[in-house]
Amino acid sequence: MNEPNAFRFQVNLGGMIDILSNHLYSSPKVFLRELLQNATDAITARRKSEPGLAGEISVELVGEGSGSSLVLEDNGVGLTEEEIHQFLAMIGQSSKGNRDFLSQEITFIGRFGIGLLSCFMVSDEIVMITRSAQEGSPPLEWRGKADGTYTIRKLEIEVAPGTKVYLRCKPGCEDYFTPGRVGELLYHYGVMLPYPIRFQYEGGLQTVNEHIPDWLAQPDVIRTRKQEALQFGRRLLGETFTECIPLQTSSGRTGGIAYILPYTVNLNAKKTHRVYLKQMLVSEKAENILPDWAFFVKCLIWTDELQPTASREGFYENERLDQVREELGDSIRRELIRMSAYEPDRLQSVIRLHAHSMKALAAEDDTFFRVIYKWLPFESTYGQHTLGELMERSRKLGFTRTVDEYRQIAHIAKAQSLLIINGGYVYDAELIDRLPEVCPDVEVEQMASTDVSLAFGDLSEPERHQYYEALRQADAILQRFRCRAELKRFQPESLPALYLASKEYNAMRSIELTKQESTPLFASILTNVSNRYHEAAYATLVLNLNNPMIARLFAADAGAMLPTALEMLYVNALLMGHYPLRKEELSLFNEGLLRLMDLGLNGNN
Amino acid sequence: MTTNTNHRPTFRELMMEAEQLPKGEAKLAILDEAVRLADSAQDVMQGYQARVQIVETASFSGFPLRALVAFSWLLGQWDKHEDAFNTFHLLWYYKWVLNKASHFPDITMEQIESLLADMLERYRAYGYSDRTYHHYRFRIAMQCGDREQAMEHYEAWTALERDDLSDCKPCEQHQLVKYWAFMGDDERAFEAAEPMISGRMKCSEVPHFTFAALLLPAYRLNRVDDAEVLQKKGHRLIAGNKDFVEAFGDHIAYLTRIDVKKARDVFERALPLAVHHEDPFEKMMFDSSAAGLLKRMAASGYPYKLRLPASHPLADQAGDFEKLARWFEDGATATAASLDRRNGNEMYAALVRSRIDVG
Repeated sequence: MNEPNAFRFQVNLGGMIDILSNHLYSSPKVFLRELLQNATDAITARRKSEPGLAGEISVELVGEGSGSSLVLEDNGVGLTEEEIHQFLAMIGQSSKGNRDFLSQEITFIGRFGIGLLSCFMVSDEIVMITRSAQEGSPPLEWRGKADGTYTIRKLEIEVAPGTKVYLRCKPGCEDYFTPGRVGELLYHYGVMLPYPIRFQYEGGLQTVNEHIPDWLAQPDVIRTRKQEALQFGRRLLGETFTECIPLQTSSGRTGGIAYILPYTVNLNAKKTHRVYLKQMLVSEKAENILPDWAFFVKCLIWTDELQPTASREGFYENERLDQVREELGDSIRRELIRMSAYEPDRLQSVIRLHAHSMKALAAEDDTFFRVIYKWLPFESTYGQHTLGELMERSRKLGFTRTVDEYRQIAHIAKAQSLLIINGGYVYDAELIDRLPEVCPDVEVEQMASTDVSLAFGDLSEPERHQYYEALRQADAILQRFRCRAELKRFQPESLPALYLASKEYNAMRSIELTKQESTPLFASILTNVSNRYHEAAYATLVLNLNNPMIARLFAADAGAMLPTALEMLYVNALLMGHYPLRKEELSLFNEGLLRLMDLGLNGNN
Repeated sequence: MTTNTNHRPTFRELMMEAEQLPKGEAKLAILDEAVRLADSAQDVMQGYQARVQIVETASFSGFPLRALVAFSWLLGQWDKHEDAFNTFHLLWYYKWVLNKASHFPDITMEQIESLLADMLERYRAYGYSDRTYHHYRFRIAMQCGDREQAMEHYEAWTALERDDLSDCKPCEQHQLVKYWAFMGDDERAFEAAEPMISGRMKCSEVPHFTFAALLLPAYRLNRVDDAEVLQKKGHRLIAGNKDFVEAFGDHIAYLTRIDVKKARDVFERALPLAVHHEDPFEKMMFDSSAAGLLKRMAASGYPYKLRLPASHPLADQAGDFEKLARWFEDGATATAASLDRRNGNEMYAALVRSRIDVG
């Protein structure tokens, strides 16, 4: 296999690099991750046979920007000529299984060749000098070009076992060759690596991962060293946090820190958890590693039990990931429950910012709901309060399923000090519906807008008799709006009339409006599907006999006045309820207004 | 939690608020409000903008009727001011609306035919091929129990090249799975599902629907282990989503035969989503499966109090399984009868029976 000196890749390397940079990796910067990965793997492999070996990775940046070069060296296992061909000429075929000591997933996590190829994203030529730790192996120089050719030659110099990779900055990649950028990337990728990474550049030398935090093994310790953990999160995640939660799975193979976001995020917010796989940063935007409800935290997670996708920037959905996700979720849930017992103030401040998230979790999990329901905020006719506060005011809670119904009811319920909760927001109605399971002594009732009638006072028998005829007339006047009139007594007195529409009526109304705007075919279809609404589709105009004007209207023999007055009350009630007016209602309003002015002027004369 | 009842939000505020919400009822309520504002102001552009969002939201969160109403309005406006709006979107939405039309027994066969013809005419006018038309004819034929039409349009559909209005590949592949199950060939249904089972094909609704659709075939083929995995994975994908009420029915029907307790858990979790569902067909599939489960529970005599949503008509009789079973059965058989009447066959009567009488 080693007679000829020049070899050719089996694939078009240019195309391959294009695929890597445009489709597999999110950014060229990952070349540093790939190099660190290869170096780490090589050291780990060598330590299998030489356990006492102190691994070391050194990185040197010579020059800056264009014309600069980067050298990364490790004292790992190195490569023989045969291995170079295997690793580099057989891209895409996993190196695993080719060599005994590399075949174990745990020791050799990288795919050497494909990793090295990623360097072509930032360098047109890659030079690698390597000497295998195998007895008698000569030092070799491998020189690969982006056009797909590579050469190998034996070197006559004496070098220690290990691998050294040289890259020269490619035009357009100057940004990846500055001390600041390289140092930052090395820190981000390598902060948890077990071998020291020394970074040398003009004017400086630093050890990137000098201080490997001990909470990697024991995330729980951050409880007593919060400031340190927050500082760590700030450096790695670039945000200032004030709260964090330790994460750990039962296997101990996945741990982390969940930082509670110091601002409210919406339900659809992108999740950008940062995950270290086998101590190496693999993803800065892992989405699927926590349950959906946990959108109020940003996590640092380290694991050695998940399978990365081809790009190594996410994880395969499999049973294992399922379990890890579940258990990480449990860690967060447990901590919140712990807070509820020992630090309720802390929990409340979290809930204040992340009510949506807390409600999402509570909707999914009875136990959690049981623990935190008291602190969940709801909008009600008593104002914005926590459920606990509302329950102190009343053991009987009414709630609506939609914002619409709430609005219809709210002002009259407020006037009568009825406690009604707006259940129209995501999860709210669902949670209130389930409240009695958690607090058996609380009664909840779903209210439709037509249900506020329980707050209406009925007329007495003589009154009923007295107003019978006028009410019948009123019904006749409103009939063309599929609306009927009712005469009641209710608070507030200032409100003359209330328009109550069933959900079905509103659906019907919107279908009727649409039919006027659509094509004949769709109008005919809408007619057919709206049949189902006919029975339930009605509206009611509730007139308030406590209101002096209504009392006068019905007491007097209003006669000619009644139709106009009722139509005006009807339109006025629609407007109060924020309903858009149909064309005929709008013209009714205009005509009515003029007629009333006319009547008024006549009366004054 | 930003709406203050005393302040009337503007159209823009409502649209921004809606944007932040996941697809579902709360979002639709806000969009409806936006529509009302736009209509009151007689602002066609705003009315259009809000209704586009309604179609997009309602079509994927279990509100096909609301999607239909909003789409009807959009189409009417489009015909009036063709240049003002995005043609492609409307042609694309047409598929969603058409697909659900056959779920409503109130929509007649003639109307469905007219919709297909209308869609075809519009597609041709914009230079798209007949492929999507044949595909949807094929789907509707399956939905209406017409084997011959299904076979005919299956041929016509697959013979043509894909174009920009074609459904995504996973969705089309899912239809193949349904086709073989519809033709009674469970083995081939499984073969067709291979790309989904292996994880190579996926989109926002596949393999969600596919895994559910494979459960009863897997049970019939005695592929116990496959079924167990499909059920677990499939349920995780659809849990809590109103768009998958038919699929919940599949899960319940399968689990009723395997593990009544699990079936009950899935049923309890899904019921609030299904109880007032707009789609009569999907509700029928759910209700018939629920009836089968409840009958089993009644027969076992095991005392248990179901968690029923407060809005369920029998919420106060959560322990009376026989009564509940009858309620679900009545609903399902009534819908099946009206669908069959419209379709001119007895497919749904038989299907619903097979779910109710688990044996």
